Amino acid sequence: MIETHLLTRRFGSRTAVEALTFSIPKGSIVGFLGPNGAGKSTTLKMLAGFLPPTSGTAHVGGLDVVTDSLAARRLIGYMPESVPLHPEMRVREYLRFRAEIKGITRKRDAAVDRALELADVTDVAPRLIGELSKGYKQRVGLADALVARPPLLILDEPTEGLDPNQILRFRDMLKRLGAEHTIFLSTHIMQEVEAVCERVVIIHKGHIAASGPLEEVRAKMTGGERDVVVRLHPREHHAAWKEDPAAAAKALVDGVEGLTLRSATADGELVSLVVRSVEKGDAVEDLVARCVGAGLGVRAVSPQAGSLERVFHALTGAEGDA
Amino acid sequence: MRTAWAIYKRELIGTFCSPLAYVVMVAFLVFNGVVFWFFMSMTADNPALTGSRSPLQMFFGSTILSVLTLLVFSPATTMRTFAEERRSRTFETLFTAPVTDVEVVAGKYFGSMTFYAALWAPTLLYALVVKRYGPVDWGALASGYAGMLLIGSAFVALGVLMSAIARSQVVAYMLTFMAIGGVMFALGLGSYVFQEESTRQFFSYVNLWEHMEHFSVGLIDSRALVYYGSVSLCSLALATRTLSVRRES
Ligand SMILES: Nc1ncnc2c1ncn2[C@@H]1O[C@H](COP(=O)(O)OP(=O)(O)OP(=O)(O)O)[C@@H](O)[C@H]1O
Ligand SMILES: [Mg+2]
Repeated sequence: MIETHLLTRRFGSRTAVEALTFSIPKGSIVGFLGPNGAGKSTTLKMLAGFLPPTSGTAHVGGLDVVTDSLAARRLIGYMPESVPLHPEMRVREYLRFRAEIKGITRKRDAAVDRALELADVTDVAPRLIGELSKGYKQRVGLADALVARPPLLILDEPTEGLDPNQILRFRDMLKRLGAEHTIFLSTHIMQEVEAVCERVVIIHKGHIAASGPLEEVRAKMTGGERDVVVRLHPREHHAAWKEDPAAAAKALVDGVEGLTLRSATADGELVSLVVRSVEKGDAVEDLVARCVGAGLGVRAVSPQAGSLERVFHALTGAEGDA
Repeated sequence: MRTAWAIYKRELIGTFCSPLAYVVMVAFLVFNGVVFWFFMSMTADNPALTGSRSPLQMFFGSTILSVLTLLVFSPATTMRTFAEERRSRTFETLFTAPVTDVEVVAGKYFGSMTFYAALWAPTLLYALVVKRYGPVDWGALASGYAGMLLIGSAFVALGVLMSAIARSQVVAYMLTFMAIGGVMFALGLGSYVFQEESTRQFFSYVNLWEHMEHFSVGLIDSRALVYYGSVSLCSLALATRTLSVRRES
């Protein structure tokens, strides 16, 4: 759906992105990850046909975004960073305008109704955009991106500045939309990529740091290891665990092939262990079996939140961000 | 074409939903009301001074007052067009839709022309006022309005160009003011400054004052038509070019 080759953009003497080469298959939700100033927005603006590249090429659906700009733009629903809108227009009025300039003339109103519905803004359709809350504005931006039913959605930090409930709601919406659209969304929130994306392109200081399916990138960066959190209830072994959780945990984990203990902390009734395991294999199952055998209650087993965060950090952290 | 129409409609919403539009319209009416009253009372008090000219002819003619009207008010009709889209960054949503630069410029230009025409529309009442006191030369009146639209067309096109260049409405206003004031009026002055016949003729060809004088007495000069037509087209072509080149910063 998207293919770039040595895509480069300079602003004067400053290079925003350099020699980006990546591709995004049709039908996937892809996260575009990078710290502030990495060049995400610049790249997306080039893909959306707004900024001409300094050199290199980008194709969307097989169409060159420079030489075949108009046709390429018809394939894209683009939502820019911080969602610029016309505050003096009413939501429905705005979407009608957007539908018209996107070439929808017949069944315009039906297209607008559908977009209102999909983005969940039907209830504010008659209201002035300038009076809406941020969450609604963001969704009006999404409705605009959706109105012409483009096969590709390019969203620049779509959940930026939303409250946690709104973020979850927006992510659900994206997952649903993923069934019909290829989605390329930028973010610097790792959990977002973990929550909605199948693939990821990581960019740092204008260069590609990693790209591919999420699991692959994670595996490559962590050397095939991942961290798992196990929450235990010690039951009758309460005293021993309370006294020295580290020692008790060490005794428990030591015997399991392919696992290393990272930390053990008691919190209230429960104890949280973080263990590092190889990506493949059943070391975690072994551990759980062992716990049950030892009469410990297993309350939860979950991947360590932010394991991609570590990847991200490893790729972009160290030198500090601009 | 449909796209240009959609952009035109949105332009009208943007213009007439902003309080600034009404401030401009009221200021225009107050200013021209005073000017018109001035010409009326002049004609009434001192017929010898105005000769055969009716107040309406003076209103559209080449007095400093009507020139000032154009200079001050026409930049206000265009300053919003692109500068405001740049400021609010809707510039980006506009040009990532499948629109061509020409369609956008056309929609903006006709939107501004509509605003410009809306400024002049209430002055039609002046003709009714004059009619109460004497005959009105309807032909000259029509040509007066045609002239204002024609000259306005060139100034609005220049304004659209300046708004495409500028980063803010204020800068767009000032650039247009300077473009109209500097280029158009300075060019016209040439026909009084230069003695040599061919040079004088050239400057007379681009002399706004002369054009206005002709329009006010019912003379529509085809040379003026060509002149303002070309200024409009060149400005709009340059605006189109500016947009495709200057996307950011
Ligand atoms: N119009 C511009 N003129 C000059 N430099 C620019 C311009 N736009 C972006 N840059 C520079 O290009 C680099 C990349 O910016 P970009 O906005 O693409 O980053 P980003 O990854 O989107 O960051 P963020 O997460 O903060 O949105 C930055 O160093 C920025 O200063
Ligand atoms: Mg950005």
